[in-house]
Amino acid sequence: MGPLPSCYNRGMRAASLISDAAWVLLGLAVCIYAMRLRLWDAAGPGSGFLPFLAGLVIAGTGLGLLAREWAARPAGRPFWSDAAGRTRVALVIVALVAMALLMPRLGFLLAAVLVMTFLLGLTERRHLGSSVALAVASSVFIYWLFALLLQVRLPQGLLGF
Amino acid sequence: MDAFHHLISGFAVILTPANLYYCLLGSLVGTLVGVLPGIGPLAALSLLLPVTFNIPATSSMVMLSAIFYGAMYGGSTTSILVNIPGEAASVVTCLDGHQMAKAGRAGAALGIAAFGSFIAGTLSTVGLNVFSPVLVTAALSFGPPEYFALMTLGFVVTMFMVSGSMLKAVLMIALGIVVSTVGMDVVNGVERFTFGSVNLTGGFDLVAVIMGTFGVSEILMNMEQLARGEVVRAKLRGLLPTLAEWRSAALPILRGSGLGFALGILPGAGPVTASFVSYALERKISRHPERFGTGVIEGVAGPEAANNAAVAGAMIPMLSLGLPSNAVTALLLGALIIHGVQPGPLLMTQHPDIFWGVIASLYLGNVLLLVLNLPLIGIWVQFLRIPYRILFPLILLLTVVGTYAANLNIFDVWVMIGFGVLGYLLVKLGYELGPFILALVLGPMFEQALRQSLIMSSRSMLIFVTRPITAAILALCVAAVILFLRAEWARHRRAVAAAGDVTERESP
Repeated sequence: MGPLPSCYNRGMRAASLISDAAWVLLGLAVCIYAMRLRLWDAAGPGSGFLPFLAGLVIAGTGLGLLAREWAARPAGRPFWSDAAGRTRVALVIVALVAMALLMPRLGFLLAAVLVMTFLLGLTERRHLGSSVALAVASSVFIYWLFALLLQVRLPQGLLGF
Repeated sequence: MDAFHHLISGFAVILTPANLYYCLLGSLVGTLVGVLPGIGPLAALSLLLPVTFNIPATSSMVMLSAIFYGAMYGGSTTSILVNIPGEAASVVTCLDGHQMAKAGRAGAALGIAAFGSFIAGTLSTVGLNVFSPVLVTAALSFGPPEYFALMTLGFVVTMFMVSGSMLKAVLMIALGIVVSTVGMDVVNGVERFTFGSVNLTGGFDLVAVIMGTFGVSEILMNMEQLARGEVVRAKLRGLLPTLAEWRSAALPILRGSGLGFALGILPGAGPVTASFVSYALERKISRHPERFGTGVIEGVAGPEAANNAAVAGAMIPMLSLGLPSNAVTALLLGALIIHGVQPGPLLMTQHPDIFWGVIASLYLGNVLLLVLNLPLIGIWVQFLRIPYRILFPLILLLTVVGTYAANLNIFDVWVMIGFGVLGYLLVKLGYELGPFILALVLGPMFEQALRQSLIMSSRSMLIFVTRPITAAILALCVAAVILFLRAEWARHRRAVAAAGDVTERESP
């Protein structure tokens, strides 16, 4: 995978504008939610008081950032420097999600070996055997450190570890 | 004299086999973290936070503090030998340190960095030793309005200390406050932003949020740019600086110590700012500023002293007032809260073992680090040769297990992943995460101080102007905000003018 096509060069500006607009919406949503919690009661500030103020600040600064980004018209800059980097980031997130999904079902050790093998294969492109060996060794080490040494009850799967 | 007696009791705490072990372990881990590019002290502290749950609060604080200052020592090694900063506070050490290494003076650069760090670390710990009890005595007369004003000042100063947009820093502070309010309101039992989820009733787990925003996002950033520099393969001899080198480095070390200590105390500053300001200062007052960047020892000695001195400086508001001045001390405060210890001015009287134990451990840690860094430099260099491609899956697995271990709840792992992705996107968009974590930790205390103040005054806002200390601090905040708005406006106008110039040049 090589450099990204030129259309991606507008990526950073588009992402900034989208995020600024998202801040405005988030801030307003926080304000509306906070108003339902009561802003002020007999004792003084209610549960919604501080979130309401913070929401106002988020919406206000989001609006300021949006206006600034719109006016500045900066030179095109890609959001991701290259496609390979973007894919690696996406695959690491997938691996994390897989770990969170697999851990309660397969148990920590098995889930860790599978995810570690995937992650090592993803970047190292080494022989599958060595990736598996490294994954097993590091997973067993972490299992030993947390489950046996620190007595943390890690999730147990069908195999009991 | 009282402080001296208390310090002796602190040494009695730290010189037990268990605490010595945790101090040594923290120093070793901190140095390793500093040496390895791609994992900073924040990520390491967040990773190791769950490990400290099973040990006493004092030992935990000793170990976590040792990781903090150990990382400052270790960071210089990578900067000098690889030209990649081991952590953010060692960025400027690359400029002259690596040039010295390329010129065959790697030993001298590493040596002066270690000795400079030791001197600055020790001097600033003396400062911490002297100033903290004084501040505690003053803070004991503070009530909720003064605390509210101090925390407001902390937020305001944080806006000025970020290297990027101040507007974005304001947004991060507000976001941190909103996230800190998730869960049950302890005052009246109202659930906020839980949307019916039982997992959110207690709020977001601090460890999961910190692990995500600092640990996972840092890994994702590193995965995007999998690049490594070449380790300078020079022989590491002459680690003891010569007399001439000492003469050139002595004043920069002393200036760096004072500057780092002062900047460390300020909210939002910390070791990174201290090292940059020290480098700028040394270049400004040098008779040969043009030689900076070509391998001058002053360019290594000043910033390395400053970043170490800032560690002890940052401990002053944390230990005395319970206020974090940067993200690392916010995390240390989080560790205290997790251990059930209430930070604040009462820490010194209620938990003298923690207060004086941490201060004593700073003295001891500096000695340990000097002893560890110089003779073991060859070993640290070997760690530099482990590819990040092999290290990162292990770090990632540790973040998952560490987050899960805090509450044995898989929901926390999902929170960590969510905040990790959010943190990564925010960093890419130019947001700094320090103000967010500062607000997240301070949020509950800030809200409590505000509510208590208004209850004290029967809901009258006048309480913030009728109490002299509160009024003075808030006036300072208002002045700072006016300055901030003017600076933002000037920055905006410059950006528009620059964009106009580019458009004019591009048009035929």
